[in-house]
Amino acid sequence: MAPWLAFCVLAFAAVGLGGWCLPSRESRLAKCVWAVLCGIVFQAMLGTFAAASGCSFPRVFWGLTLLGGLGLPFSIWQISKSSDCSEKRKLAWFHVVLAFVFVDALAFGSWAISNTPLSSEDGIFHWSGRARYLFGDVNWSWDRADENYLGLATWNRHYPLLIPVWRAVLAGGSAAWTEVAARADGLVYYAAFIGSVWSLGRRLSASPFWAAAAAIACACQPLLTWHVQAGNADLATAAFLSAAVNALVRERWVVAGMCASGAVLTKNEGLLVYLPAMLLGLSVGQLKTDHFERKPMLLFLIGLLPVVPWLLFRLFNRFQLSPSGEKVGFQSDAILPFLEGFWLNPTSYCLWVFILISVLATGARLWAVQGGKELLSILLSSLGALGFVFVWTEASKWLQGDITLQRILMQLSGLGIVAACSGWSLLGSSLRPAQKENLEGESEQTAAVKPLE
Amino acid sequence: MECRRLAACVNRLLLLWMCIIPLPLAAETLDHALVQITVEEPLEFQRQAAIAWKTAGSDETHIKRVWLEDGINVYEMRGTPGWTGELAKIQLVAPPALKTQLELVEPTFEREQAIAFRNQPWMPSNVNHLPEMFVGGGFTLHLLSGLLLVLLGLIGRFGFRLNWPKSVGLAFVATMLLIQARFVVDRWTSASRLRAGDDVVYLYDEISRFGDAAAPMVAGQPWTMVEVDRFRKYGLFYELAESPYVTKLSDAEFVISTKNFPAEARARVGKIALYPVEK
Repeated sequence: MAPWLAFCVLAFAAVGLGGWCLPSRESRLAKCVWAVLCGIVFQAMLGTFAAASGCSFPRVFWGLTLLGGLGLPFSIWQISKSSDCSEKRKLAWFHVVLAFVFVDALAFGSWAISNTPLSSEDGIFHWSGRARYLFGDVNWSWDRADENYLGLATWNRHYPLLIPVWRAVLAGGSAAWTEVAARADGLVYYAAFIGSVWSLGRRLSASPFWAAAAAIACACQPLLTWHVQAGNADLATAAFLSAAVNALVRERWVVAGMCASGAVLTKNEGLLVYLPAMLLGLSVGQLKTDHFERKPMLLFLIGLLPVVPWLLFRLFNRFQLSPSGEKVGFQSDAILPFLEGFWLNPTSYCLWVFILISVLATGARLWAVQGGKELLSILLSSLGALGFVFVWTEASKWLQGDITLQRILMQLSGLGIVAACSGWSLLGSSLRPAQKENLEGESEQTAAVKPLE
Repeated sequence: MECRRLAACVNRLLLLWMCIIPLPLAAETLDHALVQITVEEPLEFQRQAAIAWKTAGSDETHIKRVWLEDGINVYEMRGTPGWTGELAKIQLVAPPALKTQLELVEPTFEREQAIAFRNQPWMPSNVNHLPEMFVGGGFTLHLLSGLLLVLLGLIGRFGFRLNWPKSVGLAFVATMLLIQARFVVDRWTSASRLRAGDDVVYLYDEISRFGDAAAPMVAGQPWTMVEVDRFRKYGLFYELAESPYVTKLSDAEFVISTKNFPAEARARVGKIALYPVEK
């Protein structure tokens, strides 16, 4: 019971820490997700500095709890004080379906964490393994000359530390390493991911049905449900990425930068693929006919400040981006397996084929609404970057005997599903603009969907 | 009109996709073969087993974990990492008392059906070695999900007179929900069985036992050589994570010493094997 209690305390402390960067007038759902994710970024940063300076993890845990506890009333006030006009509380059948799928995944994840051991190789070796070395203060050193520098003699020193540090802090709360410390954060990231997809859908879709449809479809991916309890970092990356794009689309630049920091500090895909894609998406969105808006870019870069110490650390240590090497060269053998990752993806069935066809069929409509440009730019440039990484670099070896591509596609699935659903919704609403939708619970076009001026 | 043309285009693309998706072929190579395991005695519960194989020209042993039921079990192997090229060796790792027979078979309609609709129990396992649940009926279900999407879209459009986008959206959600429904049922069925104390052995438990065994080895007791795969090697490190290690990367040797047993032992670490070799 104590590990679960510590988990709840640390999660609420994250909300307390993340509350200060919330905008005042915004959707409550989006604010909840941003608060917890930004809070986790702060906790991991402070935890890393504290651990590197020799503080024990129980102390770090209680220190972060105190900080979060102090900020929690302000965060709750900030989250509850206002909402945007799209938040009409009307329960419809699709909300019930979404609730069922969502609760099922969380319930099963909780059950699996409580009753089964950590069994994912990456969880064992990278994420929870390094966290456990860090927590136990053995097989780990902050001294560059030590053999155990950043974890027991592994080739994964260049992996970011957000997940291992947060798990070690959580273990500090119950003063022992447990399965809860190793894996329970998946529950938070799952909730944040689905919440972000729903919120993003509400912003871009023409009706609440399509937003819920995106969230339902996203929650129905078998691989995603598995990741809730797996102890890997892919779900966390997906949550940070979708929350960052949601903030970009809602023009909350600093929060977008903070969430993008989370993605960079979670996995190297964040730095290699998603951060450049977000910078491109932001630039495309700010390109006006006669000028380029600089202020959003500046605010986004301010939000990215938490990654600066990590980037300097990487530079100091000369870390590479990928364990497979950074040599660039066209790998003709990789094209077919790469395309098969979309085509014959056993982890999501026909999902990516549907997304790609939908984007082709409806992308023009989505491009014309506020935020649609950013979403499509980020999605397509991320897919392009993945194509480059898997077909032009030695990462192509991960296409054989591994499901790395499928896991990365899972990280991007939220954006893809929202793009598909929003596109269809806009196409549908343009058919009969004056007519009310047939589906129960649907209203006139959401106020948030504004055509570009 | 524009929308109709777009919808027709999308529909044609979907149909094209359905036509060119690789359909099951004869088992001329390993890539298209299925594995059939016949259990020749009644089983009270489903039992875990593993299909282990090596391909020609590769040292790596691939393992796919499966569940056994009474009678004939057919397993999807296509798309499983390592299931390609020429087979060198294949073996079933099952409870020793169980009488089983393993054979490679060609895909037929009946076998595809058996794969698609058999229960896919959830099991704690390693995501990088695609557990069966992700293949989950494999190509057949993949094909079915696409067909279902098209069929439901057509029903929405022509049966309920919805516009094309709405038909597509509802068909998409319904398809994803049906896929998920299958996994929800399978997961909770597995969970209830695990809770009931079913005879389930995890690979992880084997790691734990190996980890427990490693400590007395280090203390100087005699040991036998134990070969473990990459996953177990990592698992061993995880099990003993809070005990100190000293490493020598140059010759790929790990010196293990534990808090309880100060003596040292050397364990040689190869690409896929870790075994104690000297005290």
